[in-house]
Formats: sequence, C-alpha cells, structure tokens
Amino acid sequence: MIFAQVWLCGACAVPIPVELVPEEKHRIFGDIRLDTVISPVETINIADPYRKGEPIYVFGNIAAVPVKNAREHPAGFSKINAAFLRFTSGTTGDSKGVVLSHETIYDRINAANEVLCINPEDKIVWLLSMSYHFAVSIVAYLTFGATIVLCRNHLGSTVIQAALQHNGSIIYGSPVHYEMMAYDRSSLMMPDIRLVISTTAALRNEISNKFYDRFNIPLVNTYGIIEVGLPCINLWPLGKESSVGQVLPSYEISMEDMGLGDGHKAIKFRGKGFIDAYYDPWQTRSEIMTDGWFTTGDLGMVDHEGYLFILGRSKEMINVGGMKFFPREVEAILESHPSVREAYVFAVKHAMFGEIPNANVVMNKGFEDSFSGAQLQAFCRSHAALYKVPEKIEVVDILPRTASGKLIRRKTA
Amino acid sequence: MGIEDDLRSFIFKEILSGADPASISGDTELLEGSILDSFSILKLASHMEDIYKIEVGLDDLIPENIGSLKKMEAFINSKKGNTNI
Repeated sequence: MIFAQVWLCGACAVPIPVELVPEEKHRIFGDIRLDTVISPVETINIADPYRKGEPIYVFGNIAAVPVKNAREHPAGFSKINAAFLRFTSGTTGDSKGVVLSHETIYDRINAANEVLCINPEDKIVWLLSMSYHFAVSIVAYLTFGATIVLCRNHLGSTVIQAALQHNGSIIYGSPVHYEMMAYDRSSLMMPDIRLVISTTAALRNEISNKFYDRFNIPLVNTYGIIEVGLPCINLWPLGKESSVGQVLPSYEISMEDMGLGDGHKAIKFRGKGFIDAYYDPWQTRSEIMTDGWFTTGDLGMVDHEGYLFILGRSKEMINVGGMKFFPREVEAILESHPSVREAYVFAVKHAMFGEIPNANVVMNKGFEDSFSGAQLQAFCRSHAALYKVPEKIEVVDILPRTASGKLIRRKTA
Repeated sequence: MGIEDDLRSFIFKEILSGADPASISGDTELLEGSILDSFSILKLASHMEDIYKIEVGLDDLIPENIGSLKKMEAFINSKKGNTNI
C-alpha cells in the first residue's frame, strides 16, 4: 500500500531489506540520494543519523521522516521515470544499483504473467525477502489481484499448514524451503496448489525428487535476473528438473560461443522490461546493452526442446594456469559422493598457477565421522581433470547463503 | 553451562550478535517474531548436533521442538534419552 502511494506520487522507492544489519542499512543512505524514510515506528530510528525533521505519522504505526541527502543523483537520473532502485546482493559483491522505471515494471510483470496467469483467485504463499523480490513478484501479485499469504515462520510444517489453511494456490520460495517441506512427517497434502516456484539458487535434483515424492507436485525452477525480469520458467519440469525452463514469449535468448564448448555458452536476452540504468557508476540501458542484448554473466546450454540449463557463471570461473572451469561442475561431482550433502568450490591465489580450487563440504547424516579429504580428492580425480581437483577440502557445518538461500560466493582468497 | 544457556549464548553470538541476551527468556517464541530465519535455524540445528552429539533431521525442525529455548532443551534431552540433564 505504501509503495502504491509512493508510486502514485511519481516517486522512486528504494527497499531497505530488514535482513540487513544497521551498518549495511546506513550504507544505503550514503550510496543513494534518499529524501524520506518510511518505516514502522519501532525501526524508524534507523534514519536518526540522517534525519532533518520530525517523523510524520502516515497511518497506523507507519512513520515517514525526511532525511539529509548524502549525495546527488547521477546526471541522467531525472530523465528516467524511476520507480524502483535496488542495490543487488550478487555473487561478486559489486553493488551497482539497478534502476527500473514505471514502464519497465509494467512490461515485466505482464511478461511474467503471460505464463504464470496470476489472477484474483490466487493465494500466494510467500517465503522470500520482499525487498529483494518486490519489483516483479510482489508488484505482479498485487496488480493481478492475488492474495499474498505470509507465514509465521518458514519451517516446512508451518508452510504446509499455511497453504492448507488459506487455500494456497502458489508457493514462491527457495530450494532450502522446499527441502524442509519435503521432510515433513505429517501426511498433510496441499490440494489447491497449482504452482510451486523455486528461485534464488540452483535446485538440486535430490530436492525436486523428494518434494515430488512427498506432495506429488513438481517444483518449478525459474531464472530471475534483476536486470531482466523473469525470462524463463520451467512449467513442465518432469524429467528436466534441473532446467530453468523455456524462454517466455516476451523474451528472446542468444547463446554466444565462448570457445568453451556447446555446454558453456554465454546466455544473453533481449525483450521488454529490461533495466533502465545502473545507478553508480551511471550507465543507461543503451550503454549496458550495446548490441541490444543483455549479457547475464551466466553460461549454459539450450537443449533440442528449448530448455535452458544454467551451468555456471563466467564471473565465478576459476583459472588454474590458463585452464578454466566452473566451480559448480566440481561441486556437482562432490555432491554425487554418498558422504557429501553440499559442496562449495572456490578459488584461492597460488604463486605458480594464479588460482587453485579449494572446497568446503557439508557431510551427509551418518558420514560426519568418516570424512577424508584425500578420499574425496581421489573421487574428484576419477571424475574430472587434475586441475579441477580441490587442493584442500574441509568440512563445514553450513555453507554461507543469503537470507533467500543463494550461495554467497566470495572473491579469490 | 546448561543447555538453555548454551543455546541462548549461541544464538546471540552467531545469529543475533550485539543484542542483549536477557531479551530472550526460556519461553520466548523464537519463530513468531522473526528471530530465527531459515538459515539460522539450520545453523542452530548444526550446533545442537555438534555439541550434544545428537542427530537433527529436517523432519525434526518443527515448532514443537525448536519454538523456544525451553522446547529446544526438551528436544535435545529427548534425543539424548535423558530428561534429567
């Protein structure tokens, strides 16, 4: 409702994710020219170091406080009918600030709804950060008249009960949520559910299969990119669970040869609803998409039926003395070992090779005491070229993920 | 240190760093006020496994077992087969 009011005034909204610690929130005040902070009264003091007036009570417990401008907008900002500005939590940690105009948001929600068909009958059980997924998902739901169901917590049993109680028709979450639901002990089913959408992280086949066995509902993998929208949705996943699906009607895809073979081509899109600009450093759409295509930074392949498979990100590429490979490839090998539940492969600097791979693994239940780095290295060696085998493998309790479940990949250590 | 105090200490050290430990009592509903999100729940489960040498399955992660510090203590004790620790 507040977003709607802000937009009716022609203003631009900047979400401040509740998941951030105060230091991260304050960084937003310095990175973007903000005029007003709107927040529940309990948390409005986050603006205290910047406020230049008394809070105004908008309604209920919601207050608005004017704040000092820490900077000016980049030249060119006023030429865009900006509606939404979000700094990303991408894998590189480089925050550029994605600017979307009112027209762009309108285009992308319509593009998504050509296949999602969200309507006033839908009750959408929402499990992700509203800040990070506002510009397509939440706006689309509200625009097309759906009801959003928020859960008291994200435990599997709670989500199932919420879906049942509110006749949920769609669930929108990340693989970690669906894994918890798949292990639910009850026999409760979710008869009204028509779509269970998975996003933010690679969906492992093990989770898809377990979820399908438990609920007889396939998980729908998607490909969401803040600069692009939602260009791919895997609406018919059975047999192709790891694919993000076919390209939606409003988009075109181009697979650019990178000299890495057919399985690792650069993925590019064009169509409606693309990014209007990066905020800092300022870059307009035409400067970002110089050839008319948006280069995602992801690599993959499209099969003969048009299903797109994401197989790595070029930014994540590990370069061992000129021999390049993608960490996801070795992670998949490690995860195929019976003792390993999840793996994270990353580059560390090496005097001779430039980079070498290391790995962290989370062990499966029952294998915690049987960890052997040498054994896992031998296993990798039997499945991959020597330069891809992690030099060092360590056990960790949990892999670093964002609040929405996305693996946080660090830069070369 | 008792189980409840250990769990409280872990939550404030690893999940809510900087907050006042006294703000969470044994009966505080940890899942109602967004104190524990999905990531921190998994982190906490991992801590329980390490320290108390129990197995915590994804199917154990229900409000009855982890909804408050007292519930977690009872859950750990039941897993250990000893309610008098």
